[in-house]
Amino acid sequence: MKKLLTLALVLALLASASSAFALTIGFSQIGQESDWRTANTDDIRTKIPLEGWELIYDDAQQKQENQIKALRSFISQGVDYILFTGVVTTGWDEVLKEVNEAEIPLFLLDRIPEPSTLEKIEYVAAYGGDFIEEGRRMAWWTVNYLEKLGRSEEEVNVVILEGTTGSDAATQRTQGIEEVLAKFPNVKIAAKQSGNFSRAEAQPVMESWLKSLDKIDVVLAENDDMGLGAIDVIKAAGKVPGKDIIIVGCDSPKAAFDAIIAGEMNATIECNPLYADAIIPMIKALEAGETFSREIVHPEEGAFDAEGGVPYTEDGSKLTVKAADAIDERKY
Amino acid sequence: MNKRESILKSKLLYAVAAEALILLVCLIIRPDFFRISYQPETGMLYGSLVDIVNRSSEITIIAMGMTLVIATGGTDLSVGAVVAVSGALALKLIRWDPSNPLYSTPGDYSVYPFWMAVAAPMAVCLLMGMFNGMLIAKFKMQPIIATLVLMVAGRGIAQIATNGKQFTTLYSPFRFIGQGSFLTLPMPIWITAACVAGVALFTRLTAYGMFVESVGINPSASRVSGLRSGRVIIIAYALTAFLAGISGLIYSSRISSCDSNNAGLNYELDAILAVVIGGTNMSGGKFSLAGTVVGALIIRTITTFVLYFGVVSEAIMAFKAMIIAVVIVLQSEPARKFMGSRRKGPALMGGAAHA
Repeated sequence: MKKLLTLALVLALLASASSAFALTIGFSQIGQESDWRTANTDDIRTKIPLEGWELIYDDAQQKQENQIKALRSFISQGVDYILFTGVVTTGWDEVLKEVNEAEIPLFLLDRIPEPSTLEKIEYVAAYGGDFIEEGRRMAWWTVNYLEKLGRSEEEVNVVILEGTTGSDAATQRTQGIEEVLAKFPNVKIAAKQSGNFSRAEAQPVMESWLKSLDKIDVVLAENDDMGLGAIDVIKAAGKVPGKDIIIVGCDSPKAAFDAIIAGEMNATIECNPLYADAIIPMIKALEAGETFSREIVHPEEGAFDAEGGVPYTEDGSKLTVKAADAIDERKY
Repeated sequence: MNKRESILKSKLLYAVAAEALILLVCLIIRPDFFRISYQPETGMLYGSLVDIVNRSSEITIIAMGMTLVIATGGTDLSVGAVVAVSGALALKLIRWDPSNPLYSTPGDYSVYPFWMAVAAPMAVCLLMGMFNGMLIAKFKMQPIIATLVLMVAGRGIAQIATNGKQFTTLYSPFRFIGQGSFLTLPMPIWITAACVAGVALFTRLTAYGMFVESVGINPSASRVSGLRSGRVIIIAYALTAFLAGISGLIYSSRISSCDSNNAGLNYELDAILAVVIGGTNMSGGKFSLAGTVVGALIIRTITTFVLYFGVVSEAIMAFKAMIIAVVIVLQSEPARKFMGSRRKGPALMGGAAHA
């Protein structure tokens, strides 16, 4: 009898729990390929349940077929929203149309499918980083910092440690950097090469440049890991990183802040993985009947350096924050 | 000299010639590629040639073991994942202590003593190698299938060990492994030299090298003649994983961190390639450790060459593949026969036909 009672109690609790969720949200994530991605997943997975919403999370382990399966299972479970970031940009037409037919609101995150797919499907909102702008900011910070050092007339040699060949983040950041540096004839791009977004692969690239190029003044690393890898190699060449060679990174994890405070790195442009605080209000607005345009909404992102106060956008309106002041708030 | 040995000799000769040719091309295009100077700030020799030897360490060390594995007629696909496990465990032992907030940021400290942070990963790697060897020798699994298990599972183990995080450290004894120097040369070069010497002595001073060749040439005959072929095979795989463990320590020490996703990625392919370029036949039998060392140097020379001359990122893979294809084709039997017949006339052709 006691056992039966307990069972009934548990069942009742379960029943009440499942109906207690105001919203059920399916989230199809790419996998866990980097610290950035881990921070992105952890943020969404911890904050959405705090709203009293149920989150059904799927980790696709970098495989498109897994994501397609996950989307179909979200449809059959009848979730209220689908959060989706695609491991690749193509091949989503069919499954996303199925989502549309099931009339489940589709919320695109981070890696947005290609424009030809977007034309064919409906989505309620899109939120993700602006890689071209991040590239531009790396270049603007560099130019403004050189001016601050009184080196704006000097011939300056820049090298670019590019990300994974062919990835959005790599090609667009390079595009942004080149677009801005083209305006400054004294700043020359001496070399660019892929370091595959990894510390280990950036090292031999930097090592070769230090020997093959006559002079390197600035390293623009398309993520901070590659910049951190370059630091050790620059030291081994008998040069002082951060002084003899200026190092600018992108992403802004805690490790980059440590390096900036130690004076070995000069700046990092933020690529914010903490999406939840932005997308939760957007979902609430959608629930209240508001609509968003089809434009991708970009996160507010900053930039950090040793002293702060250096402009990093074209109009000069945004100034860097001192890394030492911001490090305690960094969550990843 | 029997035929197998003479083939091995000539293949080694071709590998050395290929390396010399690549270096000659470098010399013609950019003589400064060969410039070596003394760096007083770091107390190290500084130059691209030093880089080539230094950066080839990880592959050379693994390829020593891979040579033995291939000589037994097998192959080991798990070495890349073993590299990741080794680095992950070392960094975990250096950094991981949840109860002490002092250890929450990287610094020049280690939670466990240095010897433990180095010995424990190597011991775990040794066990992983024994596991591979057991599957192959005792359960008679195909080597590709048996080592595929750890190739896939290894990275998972590494990620579980670090909770999917990248630990970073400033612990100087550990950083010394990959970034320090001794007598003006980077430490990885010395470690590699020790590993090469160790494996060479082990295979040539004991009968083990001969056993490996005999298992590779004819496993059944070796067993019938009283050779414990199972034990020979297990030792080969265990040694390979142990060496991959050392390689993993060098890798993670160079970047002062562990990277379960990328550490040792595709190392199995580079190591197999080094062995094959060095002249050891994939079907097993006679092996050449010297050839493997040259093979690993060729792979690294090509990489350093393309980086130094600024070949665009998109073309690197194709460029490497092209050079390697040429080297391997030159070593192939028809190509060698063709070259031989041109050099020595019909005598060798006749000799080869009789053999």
